[in-house]
Amino acid sequence: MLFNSIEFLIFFPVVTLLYFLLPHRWRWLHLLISSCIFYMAFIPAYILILFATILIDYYAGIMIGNASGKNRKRWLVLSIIANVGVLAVFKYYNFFIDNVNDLLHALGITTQNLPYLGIILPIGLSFHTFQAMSYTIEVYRGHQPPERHFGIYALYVMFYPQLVAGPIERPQNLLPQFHEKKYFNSAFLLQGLRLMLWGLFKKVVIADRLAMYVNAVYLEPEKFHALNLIIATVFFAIQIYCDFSGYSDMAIGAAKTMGYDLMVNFKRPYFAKNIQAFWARWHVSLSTWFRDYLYVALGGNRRGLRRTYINVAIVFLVSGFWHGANWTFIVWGALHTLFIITYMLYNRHAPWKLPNNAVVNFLSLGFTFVCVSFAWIFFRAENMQDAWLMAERILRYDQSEKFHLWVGGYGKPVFGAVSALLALGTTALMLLTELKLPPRLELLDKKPYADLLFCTTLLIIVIVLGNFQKTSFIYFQF
Amino acid sequence: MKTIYRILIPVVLALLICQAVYWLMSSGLQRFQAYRTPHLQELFVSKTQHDMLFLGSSRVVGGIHPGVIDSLTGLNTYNGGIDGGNILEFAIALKGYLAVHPPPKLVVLNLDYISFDLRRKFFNYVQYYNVLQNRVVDSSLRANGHPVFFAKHLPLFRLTAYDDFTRSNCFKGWRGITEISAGEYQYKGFLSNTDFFIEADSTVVLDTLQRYVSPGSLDLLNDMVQTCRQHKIPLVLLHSPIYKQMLFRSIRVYPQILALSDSTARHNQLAYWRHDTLPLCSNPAFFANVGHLNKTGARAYSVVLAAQLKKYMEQSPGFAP
Repeated sequence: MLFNSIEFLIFFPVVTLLYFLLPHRWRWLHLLISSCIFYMAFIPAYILILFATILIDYYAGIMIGNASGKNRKRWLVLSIIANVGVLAVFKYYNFFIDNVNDLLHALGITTQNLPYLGIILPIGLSFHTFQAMSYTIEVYRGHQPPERHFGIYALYVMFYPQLVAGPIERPQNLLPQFHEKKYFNSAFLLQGLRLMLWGLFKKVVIADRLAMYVNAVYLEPEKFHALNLIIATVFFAIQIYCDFSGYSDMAIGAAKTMGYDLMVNFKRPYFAKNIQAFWARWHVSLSTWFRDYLYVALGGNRRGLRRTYINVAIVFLVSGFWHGANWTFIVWGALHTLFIITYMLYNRHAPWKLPNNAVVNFLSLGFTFVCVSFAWIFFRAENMQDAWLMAERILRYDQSEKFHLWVGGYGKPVFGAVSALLALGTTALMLLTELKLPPRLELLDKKPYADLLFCTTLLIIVIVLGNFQKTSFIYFQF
Repeated sequence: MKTIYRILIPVVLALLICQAVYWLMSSGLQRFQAYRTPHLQELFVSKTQHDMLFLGSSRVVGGIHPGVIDSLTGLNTYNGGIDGGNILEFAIALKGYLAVHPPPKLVVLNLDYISFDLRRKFFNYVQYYNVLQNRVVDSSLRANGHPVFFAKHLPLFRLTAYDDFTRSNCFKGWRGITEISAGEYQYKGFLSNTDFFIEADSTVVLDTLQRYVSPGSLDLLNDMVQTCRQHKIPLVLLHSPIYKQMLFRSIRVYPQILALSDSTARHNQLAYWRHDTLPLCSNPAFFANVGHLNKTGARAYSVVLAAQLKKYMEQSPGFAP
C-alpha cells in the first residue's frame, strides 16, 4: 500500500482510531494485523518469507540470550545467514547468475545460460532484513535483552509505517515503545499529521513532477543534449531526496500520531558542506547501521590509516550493493568511496584550511552537491552503458543532439513550462522551509498561527498541484 | 489555541479554498475544451438519434467529416472519435453511446496503430469527469483503476486528477485560448486539423512510436462486435488513411495490428476497409503529418468514404435515410 494512495487515506485513520479505542493489551495485535494488511497489499504470498525470517530471528534472539560462550555466536551467525540468505536468493541470485553467464560466455566455456529465477523482489526486503539483523546483533552485544513476546518482536520488524522503506530502527529505540502504554495525545496527532503532510508535499508535488523529466531523459539518454542530461541529473538529485525523505517524514508522522518516535532519517543533506557531512545527514538510519555493524566490526579507524581507508571502501561498496543488484550501484558506492577518501586525505594532508566564511561555505556546499549529483547518474541509470554515456557526454558537454526545452509527449506525461515553473517554485519553498525549520518541524508547535498558515497552504498545494497517479516510492525497490 | 482547532481549521479552510480553486480551474478548462466538452456531452448524455456512428482515435476525429458524408449519403451521422483513444475507450464510447441514444443503423470502427495499445488505459481520463452521469463511463472508470466516488460527490477532488498538461489548459482557457485553433472548426464530432501539409518525406518519419499490442485488447474488440450484434447494428472495420504507409516502417507491430483486424473481420463476417492504400494516401497535400489528414485531406477522404458507405448501404437492406 502506498502512502500516496486512496487506500492509505482510508487505512491510516481507521488503524489510528482503532488503536486508541482498543485496550493496551490488544494494541500489538491490532498493529501487527494492520501491518500484515499493509504489506500484503503488494504481493500477499511474500508475507510467508517475512514471517519465516521473523521466526528464525526471534528464536535466535532468545537462544543468544540463554546461551553462553561460542553458542551465542553460532546463533548470531545462523540469524545473519538466514537474513543474508533471503537477500541473496531474492535480490542477488539473478545478478550473480547473469555475471557468471557473461563470464562463461567470454571465456568460451559454454554458450548455454545457467537458469535465472523468475521471482519478483519482495518489497522493502533490504530494510526489514537489516532491521532484523540489528536486533540479533544488539542482543549478541548485550545492548538489548531478547524479546520474549513473539507478537511484539514480529511487530518490531513489521511495524507498518517503516516496514517497506525505513527508517531502519534499532531495537533499543523501538521495542520498549511497544511495551509502553500509549495515551492519546492531540499534540502528537498534530505533529504527526503535519509531518505526514510535509512528506506528502515533497513526494507528490516535487518528486513526482521532477520524475516526468528525469524518466524521459534517463530512458533514452542518447537522444538528449548534454544540458538536458545535466538538468535531468540535478532534477534526480532533488527527486530522490524528496521521494525518500518524503516517505520517511510520512512514516515518522504516521508513527507519531500513535505516540511512537522513529529516528530522523534526513538532516538537510544538500546543505552539507563536505561529503562526510553529507553522509552524516543522508539516510541516517542506514549510514549509522553500516557504521555500527560493519565499519566498527571491521575495526573502524582503530587499525591504522590504510586499514581505515579499506574499511571505508568496504562500507561504501556494500552500501552500493545493498541498494540494488546492479553494477551501477556498485560504481555509485565506489564513487562515494573516492569522494570520502579524497576528503579524508585532504583533511589530513592539506597545508592550509579553507576559511570559514559565507562565500567559501556556499562554494563548498555547491561542490558537494555537484559530486553527489554526479554519483547519482550511476544510481539512476538503467545500466552501465547508459551511465557511462551520460557521464561522458556531460563531462565533454556533448552538443551533438538537439537541446529539448520540454520533454515527454506521445502519450507520456509532458514536462512543459507549467511543470518547470511549478517544480522550481515548490522546490524553492521546500528548501526555504527546511532551512528555517528543523527536520520534524517542531518549531511550529509553539507558533499556532504560523502553523495554521503553513498547514493550510501546504494542504492546498498538495490538492491543487499534487500528482496522484499512484507513483511508487524509489526506495521501495530496495 | 486548542490542538483540535489547529487540525480542523487548516482542513476546512483548505477544502473551501480548493473548492474555489476548482471552480476557477474547471471554468478555465471548460472554456479551453470548446470541442471536447460538447462532443462528449453529445456522445454520452444527449439522446439524439443518429443513423451512423464513427468510432476511432484522432484519425477519425480529424479525418472523417460528417457534413460531407451527410450531404452525400442523406444520412445523419456522428463522429464519435476520441483523441488518443484506444480500443478500451472505443468500447466505452460505443456502450456509453448505446446507453443513452437509440441504436444507430451502422457503426464504423477505425482500428489503427494505437488502438491495441492499452499500456495507458485512458489518454485523458479527466475529460470523462463531465459525463459521469453516463453509467457506462462511471463504471468503466471505476473498473480501470480510477475511483470516481470523490470526483462525483466532492468535485474539488477532481483537482487531484489533473496533470500539468490539464493545468496549463486551465490557464489557457482563462486567457481565451481554446483547443480549436484559429481557422479551425468543429462539426458533429469532427475537428478540423489545420492546413499544414507534408513538405518532404525525409522529415516526417517518426521513430519514437514504440507501439504495442496489449493482452486483452482483442477481447475488447470482440466485446464491441458482440455489443453491436446484440443491438442488431452492422459493424464495419476500417483502417483510415496514413501517408504512404510510412508508419509501417517505424512501428514493428503493424503487421500484427492489421492481422488482428483482418482476422476479427473474417471470423465475424464483417466488412474491413483498408483505406491506407487509397491513391490519396500518396498525396502530401492531404496530410498534416504522416498519421493524420489535414483539413483538405479530411474532405477528400470523406467523399471517398461516403461513396463506399453509399455502395454498402445499397447492398444492405434497411438503410432508408
